[in-house]
Amino acid sequence: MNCAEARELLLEADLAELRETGESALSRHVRLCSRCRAVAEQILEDELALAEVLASVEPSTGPRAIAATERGSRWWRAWRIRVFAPVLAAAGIATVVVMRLGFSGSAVTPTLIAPATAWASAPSVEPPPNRDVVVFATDDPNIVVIWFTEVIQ
Amino acid sequence: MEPLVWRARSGDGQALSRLVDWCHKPVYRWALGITSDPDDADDVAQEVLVALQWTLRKFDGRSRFTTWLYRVTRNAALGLLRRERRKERRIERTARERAANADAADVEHRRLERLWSSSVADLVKTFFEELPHKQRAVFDLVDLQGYTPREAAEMLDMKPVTARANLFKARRAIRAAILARHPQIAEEYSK
Repeated sequence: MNCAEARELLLEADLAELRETGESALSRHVRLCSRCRAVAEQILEDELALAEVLASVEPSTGPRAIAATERGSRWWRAWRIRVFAPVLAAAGIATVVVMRLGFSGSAVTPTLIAPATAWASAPSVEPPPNRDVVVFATDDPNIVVIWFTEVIQ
Repeated sequence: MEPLVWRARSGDGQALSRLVDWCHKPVYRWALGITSDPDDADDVAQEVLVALQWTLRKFDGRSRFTTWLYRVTRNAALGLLRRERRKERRIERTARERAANADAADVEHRRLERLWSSSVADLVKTFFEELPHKQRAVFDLVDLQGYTPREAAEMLDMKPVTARANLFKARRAIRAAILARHPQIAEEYSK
């Protein structure tokens, strides 16, 4: 292999070949040719420097802050599931009751689907990333209301 | 690593916190390679790590955890870049907000300054500005972070042959920039 061929290969070679540790024709040439070795060493040195510069950029948000956000998010999620969801279910039932009472004399039967009190026994649904889910069973066993909500950070 | 992942996945809060600690730096580093921006990388890292407690349920152990996590990070970073395009209309407002928050702007400025005023600033520029996204990602994983080309292909959801083709193109661009930084070597070489 001559230097011109080696130079072409040096531009695409794996780092192991540049380190003269490979057994390829290029590695053998680099071991023997000082000019090509100088190029290989310069490539290794500059790529290492590039890697170090990029690695030196630190995230500005520490893991503790993220963990705190995450804990807050977990607390908020749990709070919503324990408090919000039952309140919402109760509000839904109250609405239906009020509407039924209000419309009892009317010829039009309300078609609103009533959330049942047994909402907690509805099937568990996995929310997509960054969403929360509330599942409502209804009086109709064939209908379940699944509500994906934004996670409030 | 994997036992910690499984403990975190099963709801062990302490394990999750340790996992988030461990993941922070690599996720940030991967995100930086994709977004080219320390601030965006911060946003991506935060998004990935905060959501980890839910997304972790989708990890089924069929691939290595780091491979899976890289894909999650990549999806988040690409999503952010898509949103950024929409956000361009709001750049003026963001600039005003940043100017108003002098401390944050200072930190950001220092981090960018370290990149652009480093001794290899021209390589950083080539890396971020001249390499197309896929080439940058493969080169970053293989030559700068030490993953094998096969691992990088898996992480990027690419065929190994495609990953290698992108790697070779990226190396050519970066190494041409390296030779351009050292004209004496290039000159000696052409004799």
